[in-house]
Amino acid sequence: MIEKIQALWPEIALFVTACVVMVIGLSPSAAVRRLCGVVTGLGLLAAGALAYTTPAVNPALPGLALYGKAMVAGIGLVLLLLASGTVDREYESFLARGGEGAGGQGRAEYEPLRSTKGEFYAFFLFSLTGLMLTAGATDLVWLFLALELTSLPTYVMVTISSGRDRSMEAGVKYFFLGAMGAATFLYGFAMLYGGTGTTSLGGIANALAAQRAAPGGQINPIAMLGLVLSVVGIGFKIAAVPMHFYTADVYQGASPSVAGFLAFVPKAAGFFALLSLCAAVGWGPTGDTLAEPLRSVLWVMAALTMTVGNALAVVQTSLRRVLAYSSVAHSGYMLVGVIAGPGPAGGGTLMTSGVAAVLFYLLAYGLTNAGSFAVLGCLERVRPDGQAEELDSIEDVRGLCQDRPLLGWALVLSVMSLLGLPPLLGFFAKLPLFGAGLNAGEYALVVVLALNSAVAAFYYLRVAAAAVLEPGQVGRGPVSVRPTTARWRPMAAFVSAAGVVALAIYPVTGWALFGARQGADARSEPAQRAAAEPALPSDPHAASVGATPPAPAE
Amino acid sequence: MLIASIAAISLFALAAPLAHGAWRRGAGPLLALGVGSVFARLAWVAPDVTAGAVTLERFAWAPQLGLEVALRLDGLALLMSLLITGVGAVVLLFASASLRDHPALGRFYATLLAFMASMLGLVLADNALLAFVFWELTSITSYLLIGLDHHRAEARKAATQALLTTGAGGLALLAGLVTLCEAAGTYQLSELVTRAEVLDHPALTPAIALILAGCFTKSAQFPFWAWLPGAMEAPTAVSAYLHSSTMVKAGVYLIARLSPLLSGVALWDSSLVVVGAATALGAAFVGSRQTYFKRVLAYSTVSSLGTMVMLLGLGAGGATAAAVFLLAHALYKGALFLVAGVVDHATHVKDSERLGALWRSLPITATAAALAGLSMAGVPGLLGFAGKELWVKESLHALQGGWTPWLIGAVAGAGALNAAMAAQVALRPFWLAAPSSAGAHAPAKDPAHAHGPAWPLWIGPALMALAGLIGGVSPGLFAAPVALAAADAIAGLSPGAPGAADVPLDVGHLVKPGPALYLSLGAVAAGLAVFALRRAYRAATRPASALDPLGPQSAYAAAYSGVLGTAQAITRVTQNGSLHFYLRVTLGFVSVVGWGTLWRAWAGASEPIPRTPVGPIEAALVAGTAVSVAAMVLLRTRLAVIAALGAAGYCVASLFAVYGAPDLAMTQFAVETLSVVLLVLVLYHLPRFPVFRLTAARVVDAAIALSVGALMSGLVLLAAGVQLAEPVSAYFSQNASALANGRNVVNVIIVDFRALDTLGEITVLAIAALGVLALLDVRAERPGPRASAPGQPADAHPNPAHAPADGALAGRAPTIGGPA
Repeated sequence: MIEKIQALWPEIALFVTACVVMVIGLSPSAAVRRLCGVVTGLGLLAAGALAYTTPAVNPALPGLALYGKAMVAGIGLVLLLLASGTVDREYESFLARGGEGAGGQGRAEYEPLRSTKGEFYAFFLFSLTGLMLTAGATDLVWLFLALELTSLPTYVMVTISSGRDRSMEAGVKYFFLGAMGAATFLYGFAMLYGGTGTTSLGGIANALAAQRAAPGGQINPIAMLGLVLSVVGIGFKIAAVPMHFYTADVYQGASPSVAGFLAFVPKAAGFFALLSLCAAVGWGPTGDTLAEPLRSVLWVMAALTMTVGNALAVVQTSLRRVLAYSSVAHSGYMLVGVIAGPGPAGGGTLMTSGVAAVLFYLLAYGLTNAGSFAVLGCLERVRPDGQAEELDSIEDVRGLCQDRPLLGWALVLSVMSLLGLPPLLGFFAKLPLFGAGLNAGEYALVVVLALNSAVAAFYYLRVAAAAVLEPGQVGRGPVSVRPTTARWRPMAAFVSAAGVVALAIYPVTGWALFGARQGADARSEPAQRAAAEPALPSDPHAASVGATPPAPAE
Repeated sequence: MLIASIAAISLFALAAPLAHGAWRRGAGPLLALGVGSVFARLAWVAPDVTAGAVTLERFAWAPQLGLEVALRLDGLALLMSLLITGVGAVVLLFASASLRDHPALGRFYATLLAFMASMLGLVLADNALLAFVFWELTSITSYLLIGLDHHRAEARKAATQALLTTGAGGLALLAGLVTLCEAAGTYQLSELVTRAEVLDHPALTPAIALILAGCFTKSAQFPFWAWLPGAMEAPTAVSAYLHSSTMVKAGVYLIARLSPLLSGVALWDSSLVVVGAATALGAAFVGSRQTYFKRVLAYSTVSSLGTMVMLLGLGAGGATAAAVFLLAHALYKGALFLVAGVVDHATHVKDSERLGALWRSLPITATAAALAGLSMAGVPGLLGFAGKELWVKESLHALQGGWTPWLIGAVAGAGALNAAMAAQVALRPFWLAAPSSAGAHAPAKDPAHAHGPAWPLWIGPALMALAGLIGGVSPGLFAAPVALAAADAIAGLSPGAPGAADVPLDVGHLVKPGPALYLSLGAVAAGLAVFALRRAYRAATRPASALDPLGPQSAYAAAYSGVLGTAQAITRVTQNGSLHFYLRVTLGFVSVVGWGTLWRAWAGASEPIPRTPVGPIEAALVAGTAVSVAAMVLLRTRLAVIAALGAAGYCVASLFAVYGAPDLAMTQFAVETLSVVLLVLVLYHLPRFPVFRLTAARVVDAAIALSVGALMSGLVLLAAGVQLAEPVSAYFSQNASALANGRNVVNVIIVDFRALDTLGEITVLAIAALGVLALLDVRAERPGPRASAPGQPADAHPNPAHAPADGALAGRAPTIGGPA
């Protein structure tokens, strides 16, 4: 019992913080309610520090828990900067709009949005708790509960994030499709239990290995069906095609801060789960291929996800839909790493480990993506009738580098990094995916990956070109885009932009990559090594991914 | 020293906007001086390098990925870096005058210097990934430079085309380099080229194809050349620097860099020769029909790049020719571009046919143009002659090696047409009489330019043309050592080693009667003839423009619109905003994958499905469930549907009771009742179901539903056959009285064995009841349906069937606790 609790200190910290925040949020004093964000941040910091006590729990992927939790705490801080003030600000603009859709009467007394502030932060923390639990899951039941703990709060967050009807619709769509996804993988988990006789991931790994070693050498059909259904269901969490349909509508319907949250948190949970499951199956005795037909299913999903996601993003005029569909495409890239697996036994460079590539990509994507949504959240458009609405179209960022250089260049850095242009962080994330795919012999998939990366240039460059090349709008007629009142959100954009650059500079890149490598390593004892090293206080992201200098053996 | 050079230029780039802000006019020359000092530093060590010394500097970056900052200065790198810094200094000087009044001059300096640093990094990089990083940086900075005048739509379009083409090529290059380096086990280029065992690796062919794709796009080879003429939208200084002297040579450079390893591989050599020759001839043909200065120069640049690529496919001799040609071309083409810039600056005329007799007003420029033009045409006494002579010689040599005679035709044709283009840009505007047509421009009458251009404008072309002359007359001074050292590096030899290049470049040695000389002089003569008869030539070749739809520009346009079209089609089909459609696809996928797995897994294997006897009551209950479900699907009012749902639930609950689970049955009855009540409360006010869909669509829906349902039923049956552990019921019935002192086993289970479960269930039910109470309360406060229901959601639904349902949901939601 006590060992299990030891593995859960960060989650416990987050959970306690969530409860505290909920209580604070009920305070009649606005000054106390305003502490919610600060307390949430402190909780995340504590969780990040405690993450280093995480022991290796999952025998198949011992490093995953430590890396995952540290990363979640680090990126959670950026997401918190992004999310701060969401509900309050939305409420103010809702009031300013005269409360369209609600008749405009009787709202002065009843203020549900005001009262949801504490809950908003609590939901935020609950979801991150779920994400951390997913990283440390050792059991199917645990995994299911963790995945759902990650998702359930987000349904509410989408709905309350803005006062518009559109976010209601987004929430409803998201919930229905999400429930179906959850049902699918729950069904899969049940079948997996039926096929192996255990819910423990380690036990499942042993059972499947025994089934493969037996004469005939086949995984029990029931177990295999369970695996396939689980993967398809988890596809919803990572927005893989064909479970991706909700993304654009939801990201556009929710406020940018929540959309940024959605683009990372459920996706990371899905990938943690996928990696845990695939590690239980094993990438074959030589570490090269997953069992069929699991590999084929993942393969088809990866190719479809990359292609459809990019194709959909190309034609969008709404910046948020572009980011939504590109987040689909990014999941497809990461699936290549999942298929490639941890590489040949004995390791080698990071270029051979698809698992490490996925873990590093998650970090890079989470950080960069938060930045791009933060820039969106920092701006609002003024309609001709004088009312403000959220930024949406690519047209709205025209000339941003001239009008608001800091935000503009933060956006440009973000999209360039998402595109994977060197020497930004995104390049260092995409490169190992290429390498791992090639080393695993997945040439066709790597070609699809390269083609899709080229297609991605179409829309990312459109955003960057609009911001850099187009003339500014200030001083030319009425200003249609202005900064919002959210005070902390620009910080999220700047922190993300700084991270995108800083993580690409020696020696921080090495630390981050080393962290990812450790996270993927099945043979070392990352917890002990990492615990021996002090965390870097200056850069929370570098610190969050295992601030351990490269060992000579790497 | 190497890292310091790159760092110095990067520093200049950072300081450039500040310098421009502080000194205005003085900033350009100052920056040029800075770059010139880097050039001087490199020139200082040149004698050592040409003697065989290699400088190597290494710093860590991301060792986990095989990426390190490894810089290496050998003969090839020396040639390129001297060109980059030398031409760069001259171009900066030129730009400081030609773009004097440009509003973004500070930004221009910064971008140009950033480009220079990246280019220098690319040629000095000894690590494949580092080279790629710099490669992409040159693409981005070039994008910004082409788009400098971004208020013009053509400039933005050209910039985008350049970046898309070279960016896509860059990705291919990355994949190719990673493949090659992973196969070889090293990312260090100087190490890589010695790993001959890679040549047997199965991944070699794709690696070569990918690397060449990257190099060909960057160096504007057929069929990827379309972006380069478009890139001439950039200011002339940029064209002179990026699009003739440096960046477009990056592809050639990388090919040369990998030559020691890959030269000799059939695929590599033949691709280079075929693509290079096709580019050389094709671009020369297109260019010879142009009259605009920069367009002629752009196509002749493409043609020259093709020449270099072709030469690199011809082995060690070709390498020497390529190195000499590269140097000669950079000097004369850079000079001609700057000359074009001077003429444009002085006359604002871009068409060379509309100008004439400019030697009177621009004497120095005209002289520089003449020297550069002669060099480009390949007239003896200039460095260009040496390049062209070696080119022809190597092609003749290749003919003996088994290459088709067509190759010589292509070489001769390209040479002749290049001579014609040289005459067009260097002879026509300066030394021939002004055309008498109405559009003619007489610059001498323009008092503003009567004294000729400012010195920063003409000094550049003059210097480069002079260098071409010195290189031709006295090659030993600088041209031969540098070019031959580069050739040795391309061939993978160290200078002075046996087999190293020692071709004499002076005129006396080259002008020897033989087929090569006749061919190359014949080409010059033919070129002059084409120039003299240019009107007839252009008229005669006009039908060739019918091929334009098959040309590279159309290919790019087709690829561009193809991607967009495909994307639009995918969007139309898959993203229509209808939740119904989304569910259909998702469930269809689940069904296909599930059945597929089952079919695959069970091919061969067969496990008996357990059968239990079915009594009449059970059968009746199952039938009742089925009828209720069918009714649910078919009925049209919400209340009836809810009732049918309840009936189905009651049938299942009864089934539990029949099979001896009364507790479960009781719970189920309670839950069913509660659900029906809740559903009635919530759904009472919603409208009737309209029939939205056509029969065909409903059939598809039914098929998907049945398929998924059958899959799930099948899985349940299969899972029932799995006996993983002793059923817990045995334990319960044995221990009920022994441990819990109860005789009713069900009671004992509920309150003892599973007491915590029961507690949880009770809690959940209580909370649910509270929620219901709250809902009823809210309804009580607001009697009657609300008058002002919100309209449609903002999302426009192309599917009309979908919108009302969503609108209704969005409209109802506020009563359940939204922002009402």
